[in-house]
Amino acid sequence: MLCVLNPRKANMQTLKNWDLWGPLVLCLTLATLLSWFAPYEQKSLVFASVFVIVCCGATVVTVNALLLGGNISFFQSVCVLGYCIFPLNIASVICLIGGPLIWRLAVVAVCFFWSTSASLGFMGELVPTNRRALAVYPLFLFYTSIGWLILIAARTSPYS
Amino acid sequence: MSGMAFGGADEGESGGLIARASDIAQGLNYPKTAFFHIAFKTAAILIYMFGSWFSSNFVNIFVLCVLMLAFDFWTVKNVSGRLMVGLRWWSEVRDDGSTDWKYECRDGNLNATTMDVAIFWIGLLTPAFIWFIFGVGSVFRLSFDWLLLIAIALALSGANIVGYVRCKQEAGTRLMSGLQGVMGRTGMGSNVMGQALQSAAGKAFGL
Repeated sequence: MLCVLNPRKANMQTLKNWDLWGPLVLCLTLATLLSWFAPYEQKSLVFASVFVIVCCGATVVTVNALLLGGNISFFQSVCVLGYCIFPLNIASVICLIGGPLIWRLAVVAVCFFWSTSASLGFMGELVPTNRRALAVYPLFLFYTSIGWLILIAARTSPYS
Repeated sequence: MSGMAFGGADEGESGGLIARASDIAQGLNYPKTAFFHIAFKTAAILIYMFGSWFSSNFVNIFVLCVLMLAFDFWTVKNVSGRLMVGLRWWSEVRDDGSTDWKYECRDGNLNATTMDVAIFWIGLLTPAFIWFIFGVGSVFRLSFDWLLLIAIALALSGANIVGYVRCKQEAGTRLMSGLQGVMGRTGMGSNVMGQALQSAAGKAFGL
C-alpha cells in the first residue's frame, strides 16, 4: 500500500508479500461508493458492474502481461493492480462530494495519472522492453474505464 | 460429563440440547476454533438466504456476504487447518516469477480428536456443496447478480478445499514412500510388492 502512495520508493522486494485483502477492500469500497449515488433502479447493476470490471479487468491485464513474457506471478500482478485502484477511490470520494465538471475532470485525471504511474513502476520492469507498450496499453484502458465510470457516476449525484 | 447428559434427558428439550452441545464440545480439543470454522460459513449462507428479509439493499447483503466469506477463508486457511488437522498450504514466489505452492503436514502428534477432524472436513465440504446448489438455482432464475456472489463463494471455498486435499495427498504420498523405505530396508516385501504399492499410490493420489 505504501508503494502506491510513494511511487518513487517502490521496489521488487515489497512485491513478494502479495496479498489480496487490500485489493478486495478497495474494490468493494469503490463499487459501494459508486452505487450509493446511482439512481435507485440501477444501484445493484452499478455495484455488480464496477466489481466485475475491476476484477475481470485486473485479471485480463495480468494475463496479458504474463502472455507477453512477464516474469511476475499472477497474484502479484493482481495485487499491484488492485492496490493501485486506491487513488481512484480517493477520486470517487472527492467527485461524489460534488463540484463542477471541470473540477471533477481534473481530480479524476490527476488520480488516473497517479494510479497509472504507480502500477507502471511495477509492470514496466517485468516485461521485455520491446513489448512494454503492449503491456502498458491495457493498463491505460483499465484505469481509463474506471476513471470514466467515476466521472459518469458523479454526474447523477444530487449535489452537482 | 455423563452426569450432565443424564440430567439433560430429565430436564426436557432445551436442557437436552445444551447437554448434547456440551458433550460434543467435550469431544473437541479446539472448541473455539471449531466454532469459528463453522460460524462464518453459516453466517454467509444465512445472510444470503435471509438477507432480503431484513434489507432490500442488494449491495449491503453482497458486501456482508463477501466479508463473511473472506473471514471464513482466512480462518480456515490460517487457523482451523493448522490446529484441527495439522495441515497447511501456502505459496511462495520464486525469483523468476513463478509460484511455488507448498503443502505441509504435521508429523508430530496431532493434538486434535477425531471429532475435530470430522468437523473440519464436513465443515469444509458441505458449504461448497450448498453454494453449488444455490448457484444452479440462480442460473435457472437467471439472476446474475447473485451468481456473482455465488461465484466468489465457490472460488474461496474451492481454493481451501483444493489446498487441503492436496495437502492430504502430499502427506499420503510421503507416508507411502516412507513405508516403502521401511519395507525395502527390512526386506519384508519383494520389489514387486513395492512397485505395486507405488503404482497404487500413484493412481490414488496422482493428478
